[in-house]
Amino acid sequence: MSRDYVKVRGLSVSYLRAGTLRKDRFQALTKVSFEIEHNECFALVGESGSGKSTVARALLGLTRIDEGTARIGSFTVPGLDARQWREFRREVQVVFQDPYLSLNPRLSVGTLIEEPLIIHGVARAERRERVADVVRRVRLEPELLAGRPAQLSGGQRQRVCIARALVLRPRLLIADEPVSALDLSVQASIIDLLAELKEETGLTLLFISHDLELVQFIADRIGVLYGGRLIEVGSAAEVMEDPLHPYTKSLLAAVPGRLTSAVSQAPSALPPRSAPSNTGCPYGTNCSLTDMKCQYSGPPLVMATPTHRVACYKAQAEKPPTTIAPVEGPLHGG
Amino acid sequence: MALLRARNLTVSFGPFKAVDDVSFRIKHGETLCLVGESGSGKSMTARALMGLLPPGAAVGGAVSFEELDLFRNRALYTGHQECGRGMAMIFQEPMAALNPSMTVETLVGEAYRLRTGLSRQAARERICEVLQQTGILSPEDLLRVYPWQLSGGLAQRVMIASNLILKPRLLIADEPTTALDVTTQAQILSILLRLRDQASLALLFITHDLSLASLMGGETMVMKNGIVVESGPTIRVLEEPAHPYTRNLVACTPARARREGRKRLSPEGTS
Repeated sequence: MSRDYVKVRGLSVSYLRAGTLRKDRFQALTKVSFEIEHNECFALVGESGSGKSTVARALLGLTRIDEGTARIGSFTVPGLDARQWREFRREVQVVFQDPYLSLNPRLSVGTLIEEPLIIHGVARAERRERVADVVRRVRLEPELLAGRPAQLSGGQRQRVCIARALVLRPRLLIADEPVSALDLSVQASIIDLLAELKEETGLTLLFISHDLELVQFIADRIGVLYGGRLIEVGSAAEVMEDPLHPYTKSLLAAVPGRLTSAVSQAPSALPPRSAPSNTGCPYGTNCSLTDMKCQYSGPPLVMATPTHRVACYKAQAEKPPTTIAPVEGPLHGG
Repeated sequence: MALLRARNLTVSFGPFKAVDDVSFRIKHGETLCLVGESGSGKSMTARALMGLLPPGAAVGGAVSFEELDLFRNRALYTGHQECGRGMAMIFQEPMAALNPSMTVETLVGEAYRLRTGLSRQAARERICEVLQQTGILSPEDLLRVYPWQLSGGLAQRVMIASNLILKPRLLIADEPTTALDVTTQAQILSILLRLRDQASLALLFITHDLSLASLMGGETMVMKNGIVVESGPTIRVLEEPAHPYTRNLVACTPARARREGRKRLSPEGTS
């Protein structure tokens, strides 16, 4: 029995391309595998179109999974029936990016937070207690409960969304870009709040973000997605301090706080926007190190250190892996 | 001599002042960063300069561009003459700012052809030239393309090109990279910096992200609730912020928290 609470294996998802009548599908995720331990925060990082939100949607049952499975606690997605989905949603909750869009403007804040409890048939007396408890935890002023979402600031709204998600006392919280619509000072307080809730309540977090610099303040481990593939996974310190994949390196180099003065080292030429080929490395066309081998077959995700995995032949050659183990194999040594 | 000078600029909606008594100047080829959180009045300041204020807005104060008094000489709400020629503006969402039914050639060349009366054929060379200035290597391939076929970074380059074509002296960039990925953001910023240095274009760079201001350099003005709380050379404002609001804003950035080795993002005592 492993300690992993979430175990995603070979997850593939494709979407029908918009505006096409042909059976032309866009491969959003290709064989993505990762695991999250109990009370761990795993951050998925990637640029737009990398498939990070698709992971969240697939895990929540909001999109069809082509291949692969995700085991979360005692549940395995796909393959749940309606009753199991209901139980599943008690255990797994989500916070979305835009708190302006995810709250019904006609309901009072109190009702919004209480709603999940009503749906899950919690008795009235207990509901009141749990709402009060969660409101205190997310540091929302109790006076606001009588108001409507329109009266709240962006930060307060996101606190309401977090309260709504946590009121069911889930074990896993999926946060899909929870702060990218917020001001910097508000962003800081929400990130700190999530980190605190994780410590206090033993919550497991899947934190999805485009901001590598930000996630180090909450993540224990980081996974980097590119073109629908996981290209690097490691502890937060490893990925931030010693990134192995050329894409992760370029991503870190582009973080404004890390660019030293002029941005001149950034390529001013246009990166070729070709669709990632199905066989080769997804980063191939944008990579300065790419060669025939990279184009011919995509590099598998292999271990560089016991906790750090990377999908790049060059990085693997540069840093000889201690143990070469394919991604489908055991990851924690058994 | 200042290229642009705003004196006691005020934008009000009835009793509410979105911009309250703001004064600044921008010299030729220099950068002014306007930093603030949402609702601070930074976009309204830019729109007032461009004459693009929404209906119902009233302006006060004076703005002069190359010694021309903008508020007195032109009907503000219809967009003044300098708009698009001496002064140009790019927006946050390049996709929303480009007409989806026009090709890149039309989008970039429209204003140029209107002003010069050149034929499509004759304008093409200049169109390709400005596209190249924004780092597009083979502009000919892009001419027949529609905005919705472009990536976010390319769309923003087209946006910049369509502004550059009339050789403005001042470019107002209102959160030009907020909708873009970090690697694309770095490219767009380097294009803006290069234009500033090579084409001696003055920049009014609006952002909520202090770390971007530090890259753009020049002077920085921090706004809150329509008021300028602090201004000065960018390095000074970021390294030695005098106002408590600026200090808190600087402290909240992940880069600063990392440099200080803090575990939490919020500075002490504000969480």
